Amino acid sequence: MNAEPSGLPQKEKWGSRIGVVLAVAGSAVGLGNFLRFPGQAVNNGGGVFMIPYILSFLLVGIPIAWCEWTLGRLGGRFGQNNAPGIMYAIWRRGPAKGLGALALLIPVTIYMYYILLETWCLDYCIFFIQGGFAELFGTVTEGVTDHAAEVTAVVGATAAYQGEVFGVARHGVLFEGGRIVWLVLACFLVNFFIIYQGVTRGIEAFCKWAMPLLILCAVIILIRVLTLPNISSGLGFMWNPDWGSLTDLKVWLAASGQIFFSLSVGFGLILCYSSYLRENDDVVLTSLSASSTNEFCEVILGGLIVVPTAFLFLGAENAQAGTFGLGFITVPAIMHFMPFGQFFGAMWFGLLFLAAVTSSLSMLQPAIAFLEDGFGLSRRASVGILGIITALGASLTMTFSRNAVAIDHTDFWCNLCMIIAATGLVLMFGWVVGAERGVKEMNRGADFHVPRFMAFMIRYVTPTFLIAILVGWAATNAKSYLDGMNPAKQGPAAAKAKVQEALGLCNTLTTLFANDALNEEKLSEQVYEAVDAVGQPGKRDELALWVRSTRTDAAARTFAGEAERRNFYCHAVTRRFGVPPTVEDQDSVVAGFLATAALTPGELAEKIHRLAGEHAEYLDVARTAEFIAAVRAKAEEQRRAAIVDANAARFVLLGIVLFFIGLVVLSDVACRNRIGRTVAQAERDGLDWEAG
Amino acid sequence: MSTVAMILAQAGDEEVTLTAAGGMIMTVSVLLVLGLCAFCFWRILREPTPSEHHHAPLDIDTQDLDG
Repeated sequence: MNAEPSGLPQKEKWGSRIGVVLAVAGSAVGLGNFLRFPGQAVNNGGGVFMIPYILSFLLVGIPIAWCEWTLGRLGGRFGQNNAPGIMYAIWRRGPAKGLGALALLIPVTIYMYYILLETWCLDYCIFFIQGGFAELFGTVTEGVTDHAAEVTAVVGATAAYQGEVFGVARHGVLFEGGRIVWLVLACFLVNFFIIYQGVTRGIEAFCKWAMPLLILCAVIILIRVLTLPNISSGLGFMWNPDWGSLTDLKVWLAASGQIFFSLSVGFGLILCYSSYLRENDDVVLTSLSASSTNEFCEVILGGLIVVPTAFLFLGAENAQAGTFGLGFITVPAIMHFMPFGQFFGAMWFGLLFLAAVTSSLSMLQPAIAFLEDGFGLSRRASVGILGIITALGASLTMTFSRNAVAIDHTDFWCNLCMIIAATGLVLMFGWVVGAERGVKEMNRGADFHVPRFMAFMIRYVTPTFLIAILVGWAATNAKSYLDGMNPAKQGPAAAKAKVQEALGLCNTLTTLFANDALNEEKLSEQVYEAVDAVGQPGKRDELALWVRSTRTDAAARTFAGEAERRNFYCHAVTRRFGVPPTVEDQDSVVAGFLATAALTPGELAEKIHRLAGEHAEYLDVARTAEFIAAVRAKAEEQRRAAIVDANAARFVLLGIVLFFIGLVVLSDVACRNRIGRTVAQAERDGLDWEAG
Repeated sequence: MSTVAMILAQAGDEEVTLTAAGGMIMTVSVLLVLGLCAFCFWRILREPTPSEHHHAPLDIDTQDLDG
């Protein structure tokens, strides 16, 4: 193989081929493989999902990966390991620098919230090892004999743990200084220590043991899952095809989106990693190997573990939760029911933590390389600067922690940027570099050559596919996220939802009372939570006495059927809280709750009394007025919280935009100076590749 | 409730089992991925490590560390 042009500074290179494969696979393998893939598959046709998924792998995943690997290796020959420098070396036009800045922005911004997910995995792993989950689940399921009630209790306990410890229940977890803050700090130190060691001694050395260990742990868990009694039921839930879904555009978009996000292609990670290859190192086979390792983790390990087990132990509803729900609520709950759950839970979250670290490293290296190549900073200085920037970003994410609003919105905008960046990269490869010329470069040193039609694919098919993903994905998600940033919409909507929840109190409590699997203590607890949620806390002891007397009354009576028994409970709730099970013209009642200036609680109580129909005889107007006042206070609280969330989401977007502008300016400055000089030196040494 | 009894009770509620079509899609998907992985790693591992890789990259002074 040829050496680099002599005038360029000596740069690090990967130590071995298997090392780079594992590093790139480690970059791609993350929570998306183990959690997002099964969630997407089960909600989009089951086994049928694999048809668009495999097609997308062939038409989108592999071509983009090959393009990115080729451009990265080419940029490395110019002495560039950073996206702006690589883009500039290949195409000396403004859009290339913008694309380079985008390929810096995305990994660094993702890292600012991904570090929290990494920490969550570590926290769960430690909590399992300590036996914390076993103790928690033991407490909440004490005295519960019914399986459905046990599932509800365990899932509820996990959600409460997540809300409490990770700050999902409120904003400002950062300032509470709890265990999670220290764990975030520990994860930061681990990531930056590894990245400080460099590409070979740090990233490659870590991935060479972390990836095999991760896969080994997952295979052990897979064997345990596949030997569970009646696992075919869970596998059927996951893999049985719903053929009708094949004609649903949503399924095709979900499949292509999953391939794209899962392979982590097109937005700078691979560009950076592949720039550390030598001139004639094989990009075709290495890229395919990294992609196939990712698919192994996704289809085999991801597709056969979580959803089948979740269905088996917890039922369909919990098995179809979203990525976060599946990962951080459903999985711990599964471990309560699985034999040796404590051991397997620790192992599962340990492997997820390793997967998250290998991904985190790939998000940090592009920016480190940019600071080194673009401004001649030492690695220590680059690591220090990036540490400060990412710590600031992570702090903001931990400040706006309620409902994971910052994580959610940052993820949305990053995903959008990822599709744009990948489209730009493929268009650059196909139309600026030239597909034929690019494919020729791709085949340099290849173990086997890519098919001839790949040039056509890269020029026409892949960009079309990507644009379709962009349009479809934006059409599906953009409105809800844009609405989520609008305080004028979010505030009233949250208040209205709370009022509707309050008006459903009678039905909620009746269902709780009718559930014989709940013992008196559990029932009192759940009744308290339900009334507290709509602003009726009262006193726990008083409420517990009321629950006991209501149940005792019911036990002393003989009911003709279940409907009559529910009616009894329903009337008891109506008398106690002044809320009927139904009202005529509910919309006007809800509007009345929200029109605090127009209707006093007493006036609205009279109105509800008139609209309560047959239930009016159980209503006490004074109690209803108290109920209205309390619900209005709670609704106002929700309105304010929703406005804070919407403003936090706006702040996130503003931060991303400003960060991008800053990166564009820095890229421009670097390309005009240090990067420009290095590229010019490479050209003087005989390397000529300007495109466009 | 024992795990087995609980699983059977749960499964009885939902009445789902792996159909022939589901089993076939699952098997084909798994075999495709395994085949691709086996092919790639066989091609990678059969080749001797290139000569320049014998020189540990640690010997290269990257000049990007403080010191």
